[in-house]
Amino acid sequence: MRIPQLDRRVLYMMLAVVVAIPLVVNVPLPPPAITPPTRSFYDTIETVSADPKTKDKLVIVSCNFGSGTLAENLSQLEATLNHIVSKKMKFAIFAFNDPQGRDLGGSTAQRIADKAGYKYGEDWVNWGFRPPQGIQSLLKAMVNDLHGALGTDVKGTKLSAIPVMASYKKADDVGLIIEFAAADTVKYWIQFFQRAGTAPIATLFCPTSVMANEAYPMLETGQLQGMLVGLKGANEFETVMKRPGFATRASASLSYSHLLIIFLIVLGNVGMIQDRKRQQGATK
Amino acid sequence: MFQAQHGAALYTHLAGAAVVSVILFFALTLVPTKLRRPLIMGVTFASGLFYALEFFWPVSGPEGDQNNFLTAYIKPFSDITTVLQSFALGLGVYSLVSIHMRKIARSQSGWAYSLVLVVCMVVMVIAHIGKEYIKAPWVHQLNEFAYSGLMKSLDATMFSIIAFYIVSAAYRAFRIRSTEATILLVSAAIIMLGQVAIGQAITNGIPNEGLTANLRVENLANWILKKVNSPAIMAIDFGLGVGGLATALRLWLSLERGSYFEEEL
Repeated sequence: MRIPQLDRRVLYMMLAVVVAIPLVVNVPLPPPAITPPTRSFYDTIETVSADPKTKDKLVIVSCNFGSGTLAENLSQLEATLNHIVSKKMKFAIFAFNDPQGRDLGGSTAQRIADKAGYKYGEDWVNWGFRPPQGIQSLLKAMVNDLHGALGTDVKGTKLSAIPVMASYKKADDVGLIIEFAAADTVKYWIQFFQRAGTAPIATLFCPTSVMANEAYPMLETGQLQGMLVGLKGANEFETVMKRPGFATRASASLSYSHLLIIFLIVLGNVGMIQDRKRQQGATK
Repeated sequence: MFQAQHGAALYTHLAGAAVVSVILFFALTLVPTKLRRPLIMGVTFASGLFYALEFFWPVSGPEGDQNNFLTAYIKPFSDITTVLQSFALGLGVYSLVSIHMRKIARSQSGWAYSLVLVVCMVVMVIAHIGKEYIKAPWVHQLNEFAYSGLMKSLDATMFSIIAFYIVSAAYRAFRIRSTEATILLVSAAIIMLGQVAIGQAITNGIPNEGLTANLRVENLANWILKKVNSPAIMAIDFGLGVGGLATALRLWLSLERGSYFEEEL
């Protein structure tokens, strides 16, 4: 049987259907296997929140993503913030690569903080956005003086006047850095901040799936303590937390779209082999 | 070194800084052409030297607060960098608006797109900055419409379109025409299946302990990512790092040649 050439509009329609149906209708799916990067991500938050040396330190939640990667980064952010507030850890939202990160991170944090009874200024703070071009020098300045380097929060209040920041003044007061990004911005934390204090700061990374490849060496070297790989990482994390959210619902779309792509690759290759055999037959 | 100012003192300092900046810019335009290049080289070298010295100079003081004599100047240098970047941003906005306004005024081909760009830019600036300072509900509604209603959705849509191109490319271009392409295809299929629950379900029957665990698709995918992908990425990063260091040295010492570096000043 000859495999017909599929029009690209048919391919687009197939993908649209495969992605949309699981979001509308509940499609049963087996729970995901928890991969080592996700397991160590979870374990790091557990360890930092339980260790007397770090449990009262600040968590920097760096939101360097825009609406283009909302499905992946926002799912990761929601799941992680839920874990952080469940451990009663204080956190600061920060953005330096995409101005949208300030609002996306801030509004998500506000929603989760309200549910958890967290109060702005007492339990969490939004440092706002700083331009990416000067981030190297800003991070170097933050090592010894968080208040001076950052100046004010997103509302224009001086950090020194915000209660939650009273005891967090330099890198040594930071217990955990979590980077949510659509790019490899975690390298700035590793290069200029992570080891600039007296002890290394645990650092976690939540990239989009396509960016995760570049971060695997940092897991191997111990520069990163854990990683959530895209939407699939968020799905695994929600499974570990036993708190299903958007990532769990969307994982069926992701699963079936991957299967569709593999099916189309096979189909395309079978068609190519058939054409090749036909051409060989014609020449004989 | 530089103390934060508030109230009237802040505005006095701002006015003073603006006057000094204007004088400085004017003075720079008077520098003879022959001296401009040495001046730029000197400023570039001094700026780079500051961070190099601050990094390598021995530190002293109690543990947790070890500094050298340059550490205190990092904050002012950081502020100066931000100010310089703001100038670059202003220059970029001026350049963009002037090009497109000229196009609109002369009714050149594609002037309508330029008009859309300028209108969108003005509306977004008014809405997004206005919401911080203006209490009127229309500003917040405009921001909600322009930012949340349009920009966020358009941004997400643009990014999502990639998935459709990937599907099309998978069908049309991903062909096993050589051994390398076959290895790539098999690796990609394992990684893709290992990344999703339904793919992992294929090998759920294999025990996740002992030697057979290596046959589970998620473990195979993890092995490829850690043992094949990571060394390759490290090698690329190492090359990039060495290249970056060489480029940084060339820029710092003003040895770089080519576009922008040999133009008449």
